[in-house]
Amino acid sequence: MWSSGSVAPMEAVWPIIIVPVVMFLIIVVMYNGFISRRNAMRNAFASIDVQLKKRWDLVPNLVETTKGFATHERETLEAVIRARNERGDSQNRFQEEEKIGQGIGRMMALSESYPELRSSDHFLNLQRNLTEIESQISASRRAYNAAVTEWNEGVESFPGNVLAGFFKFERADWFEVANAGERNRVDVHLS
Amino acid sequence: MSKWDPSRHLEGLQKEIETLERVRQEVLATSARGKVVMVYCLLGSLAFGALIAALSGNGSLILLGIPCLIISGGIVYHNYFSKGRARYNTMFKVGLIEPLVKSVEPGMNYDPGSGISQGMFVAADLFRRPDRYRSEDLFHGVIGKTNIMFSEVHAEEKHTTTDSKGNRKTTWTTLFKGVFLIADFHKEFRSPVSVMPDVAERSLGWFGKKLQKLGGSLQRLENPEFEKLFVVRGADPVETRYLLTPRMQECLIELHHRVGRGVCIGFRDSNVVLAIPNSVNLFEARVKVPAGDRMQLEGLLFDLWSCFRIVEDLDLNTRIWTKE
Repeated sequence: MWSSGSVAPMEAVWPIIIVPVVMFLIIVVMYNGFISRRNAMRNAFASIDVQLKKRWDLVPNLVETTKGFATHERETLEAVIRARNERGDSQNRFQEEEKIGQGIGRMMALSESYPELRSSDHFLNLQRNLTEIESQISASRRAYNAAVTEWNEGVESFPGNVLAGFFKFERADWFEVANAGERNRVDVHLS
Repeated sequence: MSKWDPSRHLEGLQKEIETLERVRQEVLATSARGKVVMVYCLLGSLAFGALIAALSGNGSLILLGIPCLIISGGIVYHNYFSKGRARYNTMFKVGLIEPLVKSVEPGMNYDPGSGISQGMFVAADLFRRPDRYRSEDLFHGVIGKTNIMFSEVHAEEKHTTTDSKGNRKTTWTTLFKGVFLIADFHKEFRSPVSVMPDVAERSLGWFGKKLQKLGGSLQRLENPEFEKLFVVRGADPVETRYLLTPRMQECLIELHHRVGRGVCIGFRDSNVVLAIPNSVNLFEARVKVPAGDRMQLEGLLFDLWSCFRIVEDLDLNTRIWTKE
């Protein structure tokens, strides 16, 4: 017989059952949080790819449209094509994409030297499309960086870091400019 | 447009101001006569009540003078005060605001009797559906390449409560009162985005920041000052950032500082929608102030200029993307 002041067997067993169940549920919720953040990060990364592919599809069009005007800008053209050929399975594809972006920028600037280009509907349409895509690429990169920030906050802050260590979740890198010189201030001298 | 120069717009309106001033003097004279007539009504009603009481021998019948005073006072008020003021207000709007609008922005039109429809207000999805809705002073037209319309809006929500005795009490709370503006946005987008004042984080700090997540589709942007002022919700993180570029965030911060706390912004159906709260009834004439009063006219012009300048503030005329 149990005295009135002592704990009944079932009452003593409850904490033994409840504590591990609650702990397990917390781990499940935290783990699922990590998975959804990782998926958001992957999704954001994929959206950069989608926009880069869109831009990539417009490169032949741009090359074709500016062919007749590019006698003095052959190097510009070649730089774009070279960057296009360098792409593929390269490890540094984002650096190459950046080169393509710079090449496209220079091609777009051709209209300053060639007023005929400015009156070409095809070129203007292409220019608008490329401006749009560049804005989308920039937005995708920022969305990716936001997803990375959220992921890294989870991996580094307590108690997420304990779980991250256990499941080998690691910090991810932000999308940054490949050429550090681009961060520097640009001085424009107008004469 | 970008420079605040009231003199340039007010110089050519001398004739309209003189006409309005004559009307205002007439209205004031009528009001002065109305005050005298009102005193006669009071005395007449008292005499009428006293006469009835004396004839009937029942002193309490003197109270019959009260309904008599209310009816006659109402008629006098309408004829000598309200009618004249309404006439002056209409003339002020048509005769002064309309030419001012044309002077500041030739592409804009003014329709004082119309407003943004309730359907458009609801479709913007910035506030709950109102139970009572009023809108007036519609400005619409084109500024540069941007179609724009705005009007004053007062949207209210009805609350009915029943106490323990079964008495029902109805109260009205304001959902929004101020200027509601809809402008064509310069970029194509599909999913709606809302940018609302960050009340939770401002009042509850870290806990408020956590609470915000419960609303769903929360997007955190890079600009810390923008994040402090606004809470952004959008289903598509890429599209949200496509609309809210770092430059646009700066523009919205500046707009917030210029028009004051509480501005709500929505991006929906290819438009940008702004709800700028204001407790004052804008674009109205003050009969006690001379029609040519410099402060009144400059204030009016400033309100107009502030609304038109939003196109410039948000850089809506830059059309370098696929949407022309």
